[in-house]
Amino acid sequence: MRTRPPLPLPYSLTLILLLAVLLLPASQASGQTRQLDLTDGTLTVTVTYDSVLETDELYTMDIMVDWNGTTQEHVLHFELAGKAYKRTLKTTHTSFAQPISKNTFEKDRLNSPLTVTLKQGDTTVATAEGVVDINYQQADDMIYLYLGYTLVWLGVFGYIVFLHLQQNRLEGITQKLKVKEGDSKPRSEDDE
Amino acid sequence: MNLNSTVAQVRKHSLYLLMASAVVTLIAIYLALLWVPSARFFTAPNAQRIFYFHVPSAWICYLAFGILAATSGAFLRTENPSYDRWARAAAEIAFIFGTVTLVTGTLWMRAEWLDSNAEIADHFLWDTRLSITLVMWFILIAYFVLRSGAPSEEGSRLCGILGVFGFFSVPLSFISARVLKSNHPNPIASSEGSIDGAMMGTMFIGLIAFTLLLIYLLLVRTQLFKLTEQLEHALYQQGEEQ
Repeated sequence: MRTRPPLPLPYSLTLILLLAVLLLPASQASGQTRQLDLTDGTLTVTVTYDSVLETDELYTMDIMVDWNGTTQEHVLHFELAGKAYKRTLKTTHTSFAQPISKNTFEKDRLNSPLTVTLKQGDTTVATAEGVVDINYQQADDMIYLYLGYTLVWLGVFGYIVFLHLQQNRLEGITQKLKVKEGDSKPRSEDDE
Repeated sequence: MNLNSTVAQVRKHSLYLLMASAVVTLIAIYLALLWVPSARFFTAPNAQRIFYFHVPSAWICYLAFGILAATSGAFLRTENPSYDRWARAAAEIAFIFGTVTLVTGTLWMRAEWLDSNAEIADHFLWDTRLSITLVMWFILIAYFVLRSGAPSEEGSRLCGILGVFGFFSVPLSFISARVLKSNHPNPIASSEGSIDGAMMGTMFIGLIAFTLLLIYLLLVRTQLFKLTEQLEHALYQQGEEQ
């Protein structure tokens, strides 16, 4: 029994599929706002963060503190992919942002654990955990660093190479002249 | 002093100093690119690493211009050609490091503070620090033009005068960011511009590396000028004998 050859896909569909396959690796996870709540019964801390950290952008976690009448100082510890941060909570703090500098992370780290711990003195009163995808982006200012350093070393080494070439040329002429000791003088006798 | 001993002097000066400056330069590059942490509060923390060679370049440019002025003054007073050679060598080195300072500063400025290339022109025209440093660079160009245009003896004297009077641009450039209105970042040698110890240390290692380079370049270039003069003299003598 003869089987019919499969119908070729329409060109437009082939093109769309090809584009989709090519663009798949370039796609990025879009960030979602997540929230962690910590409480010791009276004091409540709400940490709002983005689930994706782009290394070329300033990343901040927004913190809201509801004191509910308590005045005791607390300390909030953050740990993201091995990097630790600490903020002391005073009654004047009701909302603030915890920044993470650009270039803190130097490679992709998917599903990095984010641990937030609320402490009072040395006692841990609450802990919450989340997950952040760290998305490494080549910083756009690197080109200026490359250009700057290239220019510094081109300028300095270019001049050194020029001096060595001239030195070799002059030494070559000296050899050709075969000048004997005392044959030549500098411009003035009191030169040295 | 004869030709052979001048050649031997050049070789002796070049080897040890070049090795020493190469070692310190490599250490400075390692510290600047890999060891020192990224600067915080900068929109372009990678481009900020230009600082570790931008500042030493500027200092070496000032220092070389100072040597140019001092040796030019000594030449005008004594007419000893040795001072003229030192002045010529210092002028070339000041020009190289001045160019490096201007271009690296512009690149860093573009990355950190400006959004477009058009703004760079505005900053150069209206910022006192940048304008005065550019004037200093033009004085060095004028020095070379004068040197190549005028006859040897007269050219040396005219360049000596330019070297002495052109030096006014150095203290002006240095104090402009402190006294006059300028967008240039606060100088680190002031109470306002204090920086982290690791950054300061790295910058000083870069300064040591460039100072060694300055000494090396000055010695070799001066000796090469001397060798050139001796060769010209020897060739002239040979021509006369024939």
